[in-house]
Amino acid sequence: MTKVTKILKNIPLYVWILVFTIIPLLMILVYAVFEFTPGGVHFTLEPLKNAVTNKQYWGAMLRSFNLAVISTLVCLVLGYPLAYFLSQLPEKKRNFVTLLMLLPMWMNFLIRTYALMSLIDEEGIVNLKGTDAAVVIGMVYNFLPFLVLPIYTSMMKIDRNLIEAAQDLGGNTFHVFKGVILPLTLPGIISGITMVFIPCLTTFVIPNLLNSKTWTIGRLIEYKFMSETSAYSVSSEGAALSFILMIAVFICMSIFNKLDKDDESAGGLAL
Amino acid sequence: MIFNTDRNANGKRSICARIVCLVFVLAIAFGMLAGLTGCSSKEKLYVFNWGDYIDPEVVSLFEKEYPQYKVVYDTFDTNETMYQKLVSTNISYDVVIPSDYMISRLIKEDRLIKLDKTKLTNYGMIKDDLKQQEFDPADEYSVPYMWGTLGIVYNKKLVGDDVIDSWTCLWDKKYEGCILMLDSVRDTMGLTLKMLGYSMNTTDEKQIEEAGKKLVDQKALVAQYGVDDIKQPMINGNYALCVEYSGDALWMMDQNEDLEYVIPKEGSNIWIDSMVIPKTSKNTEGAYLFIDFMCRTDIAVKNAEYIEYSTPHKEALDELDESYKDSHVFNPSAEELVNMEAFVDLGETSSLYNKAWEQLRLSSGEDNKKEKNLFWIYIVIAIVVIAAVVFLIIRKKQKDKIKYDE
Repeated sequence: MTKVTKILKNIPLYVWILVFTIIPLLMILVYAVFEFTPGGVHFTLEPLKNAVTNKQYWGAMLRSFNLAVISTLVCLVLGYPLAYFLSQLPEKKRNFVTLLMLLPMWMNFLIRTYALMSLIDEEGIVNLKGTDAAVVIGMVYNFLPFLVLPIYTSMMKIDRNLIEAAQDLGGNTFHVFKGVILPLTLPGIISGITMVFIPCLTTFVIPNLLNSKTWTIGRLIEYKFMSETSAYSVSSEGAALSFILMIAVFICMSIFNKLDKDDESAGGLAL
Repeated sequence: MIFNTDRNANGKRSICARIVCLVFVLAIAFGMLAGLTGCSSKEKLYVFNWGDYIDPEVVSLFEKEYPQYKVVYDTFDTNETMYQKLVSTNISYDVVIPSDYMISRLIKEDRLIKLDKTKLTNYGMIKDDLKQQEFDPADEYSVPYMWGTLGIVYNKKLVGDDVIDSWTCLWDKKYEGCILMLDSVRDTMGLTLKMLGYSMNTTDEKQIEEAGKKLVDQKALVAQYGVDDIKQPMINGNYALCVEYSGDALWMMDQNEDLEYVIPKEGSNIWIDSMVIPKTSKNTEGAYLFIDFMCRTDIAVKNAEYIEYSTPHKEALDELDESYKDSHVFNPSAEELVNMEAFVDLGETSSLYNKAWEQLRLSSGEDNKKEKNLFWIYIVIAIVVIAAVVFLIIRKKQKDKIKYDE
């Protein structure tokens, strides 16, 4: 009886996941492997084959991947110290600074990116127009808070006594950082990386605004859907590419998750 | 008990609500009645046009002159949305104003009526060099409304003594990083095909591939591919060459006196938005009257002054301000228009154009050296990531071992 009520309670959740996650994902797969024509529907692996064998598509994938890796690393280098200093501030100041960090996020990211564009074009402070540096700056600017906040939260959770204990046992600043702070904030780092890396990998608006000359994988998929969608079906090659990108994202996610789990055990040992 | 009090409360509130409702219902009923009586005396004329593409006064002038018709004016923003709406809705549009290639598609699909020219008394006012275009070779289905060309806008200061008169100028290494191209498959592929001496509407796979390769060669010289976002940088004087439509070119030249517009000698694209009557039209008589009205000199002048695009109307051109007439952008000479070509619908071949465009936009251009340098950075990053993962795994195993030992 309790089991049944449990299942019943969770029905809204299941419906949500079914309608907004499972069905859309299945639809991508269906459009990737079935051809819809006025004559009927038939199975084909042609679009998937085309997507996999096209060297240029892999080039675009690699380029997006590289941009995402670089942006995430820059975010980490900037964001980790920021989160640390934020957590060290007295409570009143801390809340105020957190608010300042969140304030720009309440504005639409398109407006922020347009503002950034005018700062780094021919008339701006530095001319980075049409370079990948501009794209990296744009992505870092847009996604940095998503990395700072989880790290900040995990830093706030650290028990001060642990740090004091480490210091009492003769650890210098570096030892305290390496032995206590870093291991305890690793879960925050990993969830922060996930929240920055995946959007960086798949975004198409930011690269398109800051360097539209050469396409990223996201922009390619957008183009495929815009140019090849007919009255009968959406672009099958676009769906195939989305499917491949999705698999790449799942692989990245599972690697991050694995690291996360490793760390929980490491944290347990440290405690 | 609880149920009863609830109902009482509702009852009290509903007196007020009922009065409000009654007033609303009566108002709506009167409104509908008024509308119906209005409808019964006036026949509706459905006009479907681009947004902001008519002097609003013209519509009311038409209704004043032909009081038997009530114009229902509707707008679209791309040819494709127009097509979707035209074929899918129940509204039977009487006059539609799409562009050239869309008209050729509508003709192919047998969606337009053949026009009875005897009903269009002002048809003779249309410029002859805009007639007999490829999308409607015998002028059976369409009457030109507005038109323009595609060309190069160049900055006289930056170009210096060079003569810009050919598409090949866009491939000149001298202008590396100073060229702005259109982010539009048909226009950019079309001008390249034209430069190579082919038709803009070619369906020959080899020619399309050749044009695509030519564009890949050019990519290293191009600063940006854009549509609206390339106008301001060009006006600011940061770039030497830019591909633009004549209407936008005129506006840009108003903003910066150093800019000049040229239609390259190899020929270019001429676009014509024309008035057509769909087969689904229920008020063909009104449609003919409306098209003829739009071709009247005073009305054509009004529209040209409002929209500031080139008018195909001979007399209207004479009546417009001198500055329009003398502008070779607004009113190009017959010599300039010799090799012009309008777009036609490509049907299945458009996928070849899309393929070539995709290859261009995914290629890295000629900066192979730069790419190689970056490539090594990426490899180093990859090695670092792999090393980190391996390190973590080893560390975990060691810790497990310690656990077991304990």
